Amino acid sequence: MGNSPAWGHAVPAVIFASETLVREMDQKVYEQAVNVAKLPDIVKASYAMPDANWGYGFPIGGVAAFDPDLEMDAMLLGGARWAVENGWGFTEDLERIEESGQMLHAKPDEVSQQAKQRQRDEMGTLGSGNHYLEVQEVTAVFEPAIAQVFGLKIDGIVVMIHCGSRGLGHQIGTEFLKRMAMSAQQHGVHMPYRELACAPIDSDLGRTYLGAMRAAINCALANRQILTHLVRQVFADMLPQSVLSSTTCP
Amino acid sequence: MGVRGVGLTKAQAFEQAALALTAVVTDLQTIEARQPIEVECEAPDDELLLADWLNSLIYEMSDRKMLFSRFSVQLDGQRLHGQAWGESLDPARHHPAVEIKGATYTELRVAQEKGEWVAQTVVDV
Repeated sequence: MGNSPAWGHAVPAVIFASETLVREMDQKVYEQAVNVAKLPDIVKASYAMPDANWGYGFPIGGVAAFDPDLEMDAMLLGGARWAVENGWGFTEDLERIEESGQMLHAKPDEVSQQAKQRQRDEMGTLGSGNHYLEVQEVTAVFEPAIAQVFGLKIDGIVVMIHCGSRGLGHQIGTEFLKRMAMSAQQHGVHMPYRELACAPIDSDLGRTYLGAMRAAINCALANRQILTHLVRQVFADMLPQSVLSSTTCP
Repeated sequence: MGVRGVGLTKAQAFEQAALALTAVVTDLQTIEARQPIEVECEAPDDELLLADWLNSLIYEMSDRKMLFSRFSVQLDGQRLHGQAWGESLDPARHHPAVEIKGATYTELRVAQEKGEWVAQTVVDV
């Protein structure tokens, strides 16, 4: 998924065998089972059966299940919190983000495969249109007390990022626009203009859309957090003396 | 950005609208029509079908990282079977101006006027 986050994290390696078989098992089996446990999208554990022996990277007699949506769904549920837990930022960053970085009641299952597919290569990317990433200089302060709360002072450098959920959000919008336009009559909605497609919030479609949209919000929060941390890393590389912080400076 | 296709038939207007969609991104002349893809759509009326057609192409452009310069559309009631020919996006050759996010329902219209079919909508960039 793109060139930013390292998807997947280790799960346990589990060997099913008697004590005798475990003692007699080729040592390479342990190493290979552990390597499999670190593969992206692996579900629950990497397993080795009683007859496991040395294989081509994967033990003969090894068993593993993979769900490519696993990490995607974790991101759609966790938002910026997921990003921080996966190394893209610090816990204190979440104090400066709406909803503490995680929109609750997101429903990744309501997000289509096309929307998820569209997002796979776009995490950590800015996109086009009205999105921007700017390095700004503070040249004037009009409200000193408020500026101090935000840690802003003359000659200070600020990085401002405007970005969204990218392809996933657009795909969700496209899909639900059609569904709402087609179901308007059923919901007793008269649309003077088709682009005002809508559905009652307490309808099945309305609730489904809310779940998907909250997932899209988490995608946007995660993406922006990844970009923020990448900026932090770039500044650390290029200007080692600088400290980019999302917390208030005293 | 508005895109509009005009043709003697409804299908031709849909094909022209797809060309207009690509023209928002880059010069059509720079795209080689090398690799074909197939698109299937279904919608309850012509206008939603046009939006579906364009959104399907937008999805394919995004997913396959391709640009398309030739299109063929066959309409059967409210079903569309389409083909698009193109190649992989090459920023050095294609110099994409924007990334199209989706086809909207703003100014969405499919109509026959003065002996020609017009298919248009606004796409979000």
